[in-house]
Amino acid sequence: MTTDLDPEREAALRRRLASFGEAIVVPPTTDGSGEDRTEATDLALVRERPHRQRRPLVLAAAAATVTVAGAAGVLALADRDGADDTEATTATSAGTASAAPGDCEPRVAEDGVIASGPTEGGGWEVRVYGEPPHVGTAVSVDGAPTGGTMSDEMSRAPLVNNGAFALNAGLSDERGIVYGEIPRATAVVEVTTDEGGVQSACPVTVPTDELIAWFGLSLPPGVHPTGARALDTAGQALASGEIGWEPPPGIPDAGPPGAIGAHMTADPALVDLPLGGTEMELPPPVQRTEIASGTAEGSPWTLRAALDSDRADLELEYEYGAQAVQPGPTPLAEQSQWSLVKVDDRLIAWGPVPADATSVAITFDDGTAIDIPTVAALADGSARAFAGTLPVGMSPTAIEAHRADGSVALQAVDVAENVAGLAGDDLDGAGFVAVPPG
Amino acid sequence: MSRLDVTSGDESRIEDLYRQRREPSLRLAAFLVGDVTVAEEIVQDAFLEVARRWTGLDNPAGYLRTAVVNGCRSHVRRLATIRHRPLPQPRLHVDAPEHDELWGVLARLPERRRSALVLRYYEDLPVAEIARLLGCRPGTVSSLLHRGLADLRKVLDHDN
Repeated sequence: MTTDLDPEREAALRRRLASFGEAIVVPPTTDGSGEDRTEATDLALVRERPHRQRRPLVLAAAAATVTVAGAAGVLALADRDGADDTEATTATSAGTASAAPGDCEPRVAEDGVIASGPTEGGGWEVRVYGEPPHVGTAVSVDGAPTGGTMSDEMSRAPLVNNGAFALNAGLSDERGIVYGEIPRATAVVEVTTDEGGVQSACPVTVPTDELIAWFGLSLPPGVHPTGARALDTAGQALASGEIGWEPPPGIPDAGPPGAIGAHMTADPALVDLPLGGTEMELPPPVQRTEIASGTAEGSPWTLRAALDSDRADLELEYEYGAQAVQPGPTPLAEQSQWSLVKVDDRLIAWGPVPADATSVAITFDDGTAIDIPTVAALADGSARAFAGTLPVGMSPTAIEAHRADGSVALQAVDVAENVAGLAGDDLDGAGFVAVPPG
Repeated sequence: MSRLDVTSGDESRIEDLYRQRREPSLRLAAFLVGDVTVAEEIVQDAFLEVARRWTGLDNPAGYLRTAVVNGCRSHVRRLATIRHRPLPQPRLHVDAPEHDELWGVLARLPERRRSALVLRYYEDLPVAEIARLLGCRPGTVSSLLHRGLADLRKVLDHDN
């Protein structure tokens, strides 16, 4: 098939892209010493670069193998005035710090919640989950995941052992959350902001992690973090790091990205290194079993599930590709992620549902509806799933998971808004967050 | 620009593949997601995926490219979904202000249209391969290229 649509423009675009590609600044593979430390271990390819950023995650949607949300573009936190007792941090006015190194009481987060606070919609929190070396963080606002880091992060041990602590920021026009890892001896964490102020947070430990401590705090609207320091009781900086970004070329007034992954570097004179983190092993490839199948425009699709897993782990394979979803720590009864996949002009709806959901009803813009029965997604029956091809030319307006008694277990949010983007040929899928009614 | 022939099988070790393909993969990913930092994460994940399957891969470099493209597309879609609005302005740090005009248009294109253009005119992939990577029919790719070139008309015609 020829694509010589316009030879002159094609040639011009090739030249411009080649030139542009060469101009993109690519980070070096070395740690600054000039030595290429790329090496393949028997576990994985490990790039020995202490400054490697941890991976910010985003909400599992159209085609995700992701567990928790990340780019915090939807963070919408209320003002911190009147913070409740669960608040682990203290917001301060510009230029002052509310917590000095001696002000913080030792706190162990038995439930993994290292920081939290109120919002108009219910509150925000930063939670640590998993056990070393499989440790991740999950940020949620009003019950919905909005950020975090994955528990299969490969470089945690090299980073922690070498004294590079994850420092993450999820930012939006309304609010931001800064959180990360710190040395155990930290007495207080100071986060500097672009308005010249300092916000402080007390360290928190979790029972499952003896190596490091954690912190988290929220920032007022319009205030962006510029760096962080973990201070000991004497006020010495055990670790410090910057949170920076640059506007894209030609858009000098652009705001910061939704999520920034950075790090704090420990002072080796004050922190005993290495810390003794354990190199994690790569998990074995997931074995999935077919649980449903169908066709769309004559193209077959298959839904597979890791039946022996400890949580729903699904993959939809169709003629042109595959999508996978693995829900995060939030129970399916409280939240799920559903998807629509476009195969030519047909849509396939699929996703995990809680154990008591027996069918998924999809209502269309003409008022008609179809029911898709659910199937077991885990061998013990603790999770189910659905998948089905939608009628030709029909546009969903509502997607609901029903129990046997007809009650609604989960319903998709913003269906019409997400489906609207599928009308042209630029999108081949859409994702939905599904939550209980009300 | 030097490119590795992904069908030549001349990457006997994953370290070699990493050294030869990391930078080109990063540039491709940067074009697709508009952010070198995110691109670095995606490419690193793609290499880890290749490492996991190394012994069973006939064409590691081809698998790597598929993993990079899939990772980029997933990232962009997730951003679009979570924000419930058009994609954020991509962030690409370049030391070449003369590219601003091209990037200014390219960055605002829908994800699939931009991907088709980059894979065709930067990676020099055939339409059939682009269709496989994007999960659509070849005819759809041609449509995306037509529309993408039209979107870039002003910038490119200025060149000519």
